[in-house]
Amino acid sequence: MSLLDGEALAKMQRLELIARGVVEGFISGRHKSPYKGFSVEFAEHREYVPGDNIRDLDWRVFGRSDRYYIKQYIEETNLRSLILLDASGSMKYTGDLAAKHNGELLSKFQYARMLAASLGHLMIHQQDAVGLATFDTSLRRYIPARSRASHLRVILAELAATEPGAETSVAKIFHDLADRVRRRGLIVIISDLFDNVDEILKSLHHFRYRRHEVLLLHVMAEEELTFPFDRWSVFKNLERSGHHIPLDPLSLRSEYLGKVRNFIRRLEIGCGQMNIDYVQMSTKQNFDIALAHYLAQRMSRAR
Amino acid sequence: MTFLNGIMLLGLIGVSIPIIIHILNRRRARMVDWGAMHFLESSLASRNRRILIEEIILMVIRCSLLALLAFALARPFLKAGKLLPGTGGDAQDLAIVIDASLSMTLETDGSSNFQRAIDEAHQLVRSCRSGDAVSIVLAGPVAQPILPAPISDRDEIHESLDKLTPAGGSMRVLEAINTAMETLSAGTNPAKRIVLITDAQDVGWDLSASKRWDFLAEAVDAMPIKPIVIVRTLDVPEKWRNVSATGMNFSRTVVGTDRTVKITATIANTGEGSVHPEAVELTIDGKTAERETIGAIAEGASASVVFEHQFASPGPHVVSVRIACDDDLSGDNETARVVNVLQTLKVLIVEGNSSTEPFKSDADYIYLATALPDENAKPGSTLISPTVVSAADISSAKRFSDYAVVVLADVPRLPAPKAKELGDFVAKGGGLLIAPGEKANRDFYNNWKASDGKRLAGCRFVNIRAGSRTGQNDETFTRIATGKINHPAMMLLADQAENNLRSAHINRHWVLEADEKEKTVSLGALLDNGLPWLVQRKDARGVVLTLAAPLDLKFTHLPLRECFVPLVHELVHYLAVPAQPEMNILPGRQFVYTIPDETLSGSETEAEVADPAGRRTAVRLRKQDKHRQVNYSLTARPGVYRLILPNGDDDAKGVPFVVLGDPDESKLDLLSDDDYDRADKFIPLTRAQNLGELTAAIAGGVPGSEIWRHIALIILALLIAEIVTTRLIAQKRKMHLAEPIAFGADRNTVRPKEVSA
Repeated sequence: MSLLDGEALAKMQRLELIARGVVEGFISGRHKSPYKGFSVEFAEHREYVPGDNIRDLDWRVFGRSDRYYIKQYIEETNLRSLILLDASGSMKYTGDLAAKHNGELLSKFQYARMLAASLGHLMIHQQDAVGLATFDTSLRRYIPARSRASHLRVILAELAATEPGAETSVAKIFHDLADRVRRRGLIVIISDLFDNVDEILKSLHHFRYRRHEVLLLHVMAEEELTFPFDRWSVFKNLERSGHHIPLDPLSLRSEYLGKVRNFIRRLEIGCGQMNIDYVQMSTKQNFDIALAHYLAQRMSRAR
Repeated sequence: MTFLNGIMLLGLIGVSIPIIIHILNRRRARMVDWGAMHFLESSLASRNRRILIEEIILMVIRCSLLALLAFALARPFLKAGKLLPGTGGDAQDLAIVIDASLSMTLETDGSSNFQRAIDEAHQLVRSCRSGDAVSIVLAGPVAQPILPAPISDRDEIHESLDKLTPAGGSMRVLEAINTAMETLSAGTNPAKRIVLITDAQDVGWDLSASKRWDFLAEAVDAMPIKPIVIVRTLDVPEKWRNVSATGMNFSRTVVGTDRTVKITATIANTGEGSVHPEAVELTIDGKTAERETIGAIAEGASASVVFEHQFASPGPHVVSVRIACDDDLSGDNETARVVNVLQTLKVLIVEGNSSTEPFKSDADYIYLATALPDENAKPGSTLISPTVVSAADISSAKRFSDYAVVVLADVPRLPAPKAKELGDFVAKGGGLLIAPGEKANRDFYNNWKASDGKRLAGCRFVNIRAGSRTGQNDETFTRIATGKINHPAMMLLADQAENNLRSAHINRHWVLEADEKEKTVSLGALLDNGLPWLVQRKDARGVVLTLAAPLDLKFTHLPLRECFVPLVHELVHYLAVPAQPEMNILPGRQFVYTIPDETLSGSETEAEVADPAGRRTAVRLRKQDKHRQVNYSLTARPGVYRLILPNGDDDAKGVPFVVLGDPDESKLDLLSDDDYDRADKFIPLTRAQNLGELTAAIAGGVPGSEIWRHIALIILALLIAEIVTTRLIAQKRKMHLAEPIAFGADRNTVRPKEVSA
């Protein structure tokens, strides 16, 4: 922990607090703790056939019906999740319409980071193994999945220390990771996916090919979706310094929205075909939607 | 091409507005840190060129729209005929000028020319096209714009015409045309015409005043489209009988109740053949005072009738002379004047030195000459009421404005504040008589400045000189040169046969050097040696008279001569005139009257003036020093006016004043063809001999046409083009289709189960 400076530590603790708040609020508010005692989850009764373990016989049923029934339990399997967090420059974007935290507008990255922290917290809380990979042009940092409670701190510290940087190159990273992560698991991608959509879909397919479940949390700012600018503006590239375009937004709005709409549509279709859980997250929304998706994913895996 | 409203061309600056807005927009571009650059770039790549073209097209349309708007508002006028179809004769502005002079009231065949002029004006208005606008000018001695801006409402025009009444006096043609042009310039139609309906009497045309005609011609030329002047001359009878009371003179300028005043009325026969009026009546305030019969007056001759009248009460009185005679033009048979009869004329005599011995004080002789000659006379029977104060005691004279005239009898000098006060007194109309003797301080008088900074006396006091002629007892003397008197106050004494002014020896006198460069300074009388005896200087309103000798026995024996009393009286009367209100004014001049303090209680702010026709107009009472003053300038009609004060007991009477007519109006001299030609050289005149010619003259358009309608059409087309272009571009940009993208929570609530299935 000495590697973390005070500020990063404070940031991490803040993140943990936020994540805990989000998760606890989410669980207690939404569900009646459906996963309590999940380690010995009862599934169904089955008639005894020779070869079955006698320990599993339900003697109460035998007492009532004079038949042998076996009690079946859900096999407790640890979910291995890997959170891929996009730390590229474009994630720095902060729209005026974004949600606020402590009175400050959240940038896409801050939003994504909190999302990651909350998910991580929830996963650890559920005894799942969580890993973290941050990337921009290249893979920045890779923390393999662990399910120990202390591992959460490692992830949170990493999240707190990460700042968005260079250009996005999603597809390449995904291919790399798909090769790297051997064990099947849940891949949670948090990104704005500003890259070539075909390449992205190909790389996602790579994950699926490796039999990973994929939860794609697509983070976009509200402004990127509505393009609400109406006077002459100079658009400065967040990923490349010195690159800017002056233009009249009104003249380009429909064109731009068309492109974005097309992009999103293709992602939707592509994800649908690949059976990828594609979740759109506008930064003005709350995180709990993302968490609900994660939980749904987990349940489907458990079955 | 000319512009009827050239100032609007400044609107061309407006062309830069869209460009400025564009530049400002770019300037004020806000910086946006943007992540989704990828989409932006690809959108731009496909649209950039198109956007530029669209913007250029829109900019060109908008700029030309503004430019054409400014151009159309400037009302361009194409002189070169009808270049463009569809401009079938533009509407015109017509100014109808009706001669309202006295001669127009001359009755022939049962109606007057004035009535005929009105009738023709009605006809003229009826023959106008629907878009034509008409203004009306009533041309008396002052041209009155009855409809000051051309209007198209026929009912109102006819109504205004019906309300017109003759003004009397003579028509001032130049002023009338000028006023008509002013009314026309308020109109909006390009074609301008002036119709003058007159009886062609030559009075008031002032054709000899070529400079004024030139000036008017310049004004006509300066108008964007020259107005066409049409003169309609009404017929006048060839033979007519007329006597007129052409003038009235009073034997004295300041009239009191103390003695009779001679009133001389001039009666002229301006018609054909000799006339024999029944009588001539003098009426005072409407009551007949005297009636005289006179003999026949030959054609073109004139006679004088002299009345003597002593006014019984002070105050303004209407004195009118009426000729009882049945002639063709009755309006000039009576003439009136207002005489302001004074109760007293207060004179302040300041003496340099006073003495208890008789005839030793400096002012004794003047006082005697002005004061009561007879101890038994009843008070108030003399007009002049002198007050004597010594120079040392001058501060006891509180207000100079209580007096009409101040006399300085050998005063050495005055304290500076009093000298300044006296200067102000003169500036406001007071009279000052300076009679310097040996005590007079040369430097004081030479440096005494009037309120305008010039020398108050109008002359420099040089030194005292003895006369050059030697008489008995080695007496040296000079005399007043009676032959060289040209001052009105001394005219009475100019005749040697009548008086003995010439016999007065002037032993010594001041050498006065008049400031002859000043226009206000004049020499009233000289001495035999050619040096000035009387120097007059007119101040702002009042008059300063300086004599070369004091009015006592130290320099001259003049006070002992018989002529002394009339001399002093004449000088005092003369000096008192400017302080009197002018009750007989020329048409168009302002009537200024200071209301005596006792007539008003104090709070009134408005009074009324009744004009000769009996119409009343409110006038404001203005505070002037401590008094209240009336300024009334609607004096267009000759005749008797009355100022009616709010609390006046006899409100029917009020304070009368007279606006004078023009005696020349009674002579019916008509303009000759030469006169027309002369006038035509200054301003082209079209003559109309009858109504038919007149209506023909106002028909037909003017060469050239206004093209703003065409420009307006182009503007409309551009406007539509702009709207269409904007719509097209919007369509292209699919602005209305650019609905928000359904994303995340915006579409539906999350369906985790479904996704998982």
